[in-house]
Amino acid sequence: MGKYILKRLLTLLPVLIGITIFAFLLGVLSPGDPARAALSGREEEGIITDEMLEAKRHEMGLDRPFFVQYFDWMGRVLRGDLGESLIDKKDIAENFRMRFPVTIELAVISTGITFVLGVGLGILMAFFHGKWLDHLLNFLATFSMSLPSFWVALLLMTVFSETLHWLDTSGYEGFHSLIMPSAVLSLGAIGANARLMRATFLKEQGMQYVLAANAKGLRQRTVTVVHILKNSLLPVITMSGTRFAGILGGSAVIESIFSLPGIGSYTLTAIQNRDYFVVQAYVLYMGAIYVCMNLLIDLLYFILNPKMKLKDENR
Amino acid sequence: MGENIEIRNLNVRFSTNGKTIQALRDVNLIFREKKITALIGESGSGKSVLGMSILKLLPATAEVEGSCFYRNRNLYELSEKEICKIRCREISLIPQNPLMSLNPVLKIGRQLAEPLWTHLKVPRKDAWKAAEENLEKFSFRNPKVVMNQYSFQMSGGMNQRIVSCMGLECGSSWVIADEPTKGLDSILRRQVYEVLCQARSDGSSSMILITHDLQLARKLCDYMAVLYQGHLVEQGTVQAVMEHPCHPYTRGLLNAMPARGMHSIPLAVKGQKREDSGCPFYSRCQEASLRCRKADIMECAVSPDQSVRCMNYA
Repeated sequence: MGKYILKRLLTLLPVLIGITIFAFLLGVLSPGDPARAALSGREEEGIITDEMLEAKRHEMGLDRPFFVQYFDWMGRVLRGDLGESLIDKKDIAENFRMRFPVTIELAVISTGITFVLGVGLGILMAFFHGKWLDHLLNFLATFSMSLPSFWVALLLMTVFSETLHWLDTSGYEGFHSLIMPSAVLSLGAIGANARLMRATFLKEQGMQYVLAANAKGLRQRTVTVVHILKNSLLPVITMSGTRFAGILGGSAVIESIFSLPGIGSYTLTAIQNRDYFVVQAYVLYMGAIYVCMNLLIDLLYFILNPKMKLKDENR
Repeated sequence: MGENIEIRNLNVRFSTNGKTIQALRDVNLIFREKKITALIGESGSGKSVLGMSILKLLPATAEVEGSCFYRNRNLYELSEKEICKIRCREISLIPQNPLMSLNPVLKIGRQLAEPLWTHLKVPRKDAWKAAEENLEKFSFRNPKVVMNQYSFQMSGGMNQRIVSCMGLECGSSWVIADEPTKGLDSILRRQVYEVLCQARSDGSSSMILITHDLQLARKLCDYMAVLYQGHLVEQGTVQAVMEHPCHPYTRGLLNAMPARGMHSIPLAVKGQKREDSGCPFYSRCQEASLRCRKADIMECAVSPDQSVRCMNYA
């Protein structure tokens, strides 16, 4: 197991380095002059002279070769210094730290709901395969997948905030603020998960080992839960994992609609303001999240699929 | 009488996408206790369907008509719960294709111990131990290791012995072995033969052997039933059927054996449609006459040991 993790980490290292280069280039290539932008926030706006720009460029190290700038920047990133926002001059890393808990809560809750309901409904559909309940749930799944999430968000707000006054439309004041956002985020994903679960479950159900298990006179519940389910969970886990990473990366639209102080809304504002240090930090963060999630999924596979263990032993 | 498995007027149909396929038509057959009966026929003749129907293991798309009496109960009419108590405990299955019959994500040990704790109501630990001891009987030198491994770590022969062990471990009085020698080389076939012989002497002596393997049937079995396209065309003692085959199809099967020169049965003439009534083998039969085409053929006894469904004997 330890060897496997180490090997995975070693293959992921080049990916991570690639991401840092990409994030750095994004900063270099983006239109606009960061030195001018840094100066323009001040009182004496409009009277930026060439000398001032030159001085600022030198101060920010923009006149040095790119690779020197890259290593300089990497050094700071590794120390946890992501720089300051160009707009409000606040520490970016500090902002990420503050906003991360909101985003991760949202991701955990909505992925949890998605996984449990997706798997449950998928099994239900497989059980009633071909019956009206299957058709109905299948229709609802496709329907929910095709609804735009911002529209669902507005609909929920109208019902639960405007009409019933149960929940606040915006802001973050603890768990209840996350109910509507996570419901919206889960909705389409539940449909996709349930359909995937139904398909794999039906496929596994037709396998010879299920017949053999039934021939042993086991209870239907044992055959379903122990024999079939364990085999059909892998694809759904992969899907949920990438979905989880996606939400961690900030569901910008949903966070903005519900005014949640998460990473998505922060980045969206930064993009609008061309606050490119924030965007750069975001690209870096996003890459790291995806790499970590992939590693986590691989580890889960390792635990659930004995074939992986065997390969590891043979190595 | 009660220990025999008696199949009466069995019809099995599969309906999918509006098409109906008749897998078994009007089958009457008695599997005698303490005897081994071979079910013979080409692929798709309904051998496995007949075997699976006894344990109610056919897919939900199957329509089963008729009755199957065992210990004075009609197995086809039992509820799911009742048939579960019979499966493995009274009538067990040695499934075909051992590798596919074992769950890839569960340890061999769990799969072997499962039926023991389900049927014999022993604690899981004891079931595990008993399964380990059973493996030893199937000439595994290292049962402790095998218990903690997975099916894909085993060789084909090992998996075959594992599923055989699974079918025999609950001490059921009947065993249905579904093509146990399919796709095995001669050394492994020999092994399977020995396992089945062992089962025979261990008390699970009533057995249904579904097979293509006529050599195995001859060596091991007492009775033989020949199926063609869902019809039972001939049955009797192995000796009678193999020495004096009456149905042209049985004769064809026997002549197709390597030892007898591998003469294949000619295919049906193209364009000739099979009638719903009449002999199913009509279009391929060399001895067919016009009356074979339409007439309903009754089963008739050619000797006390043998009966056949053919116009030539009617």
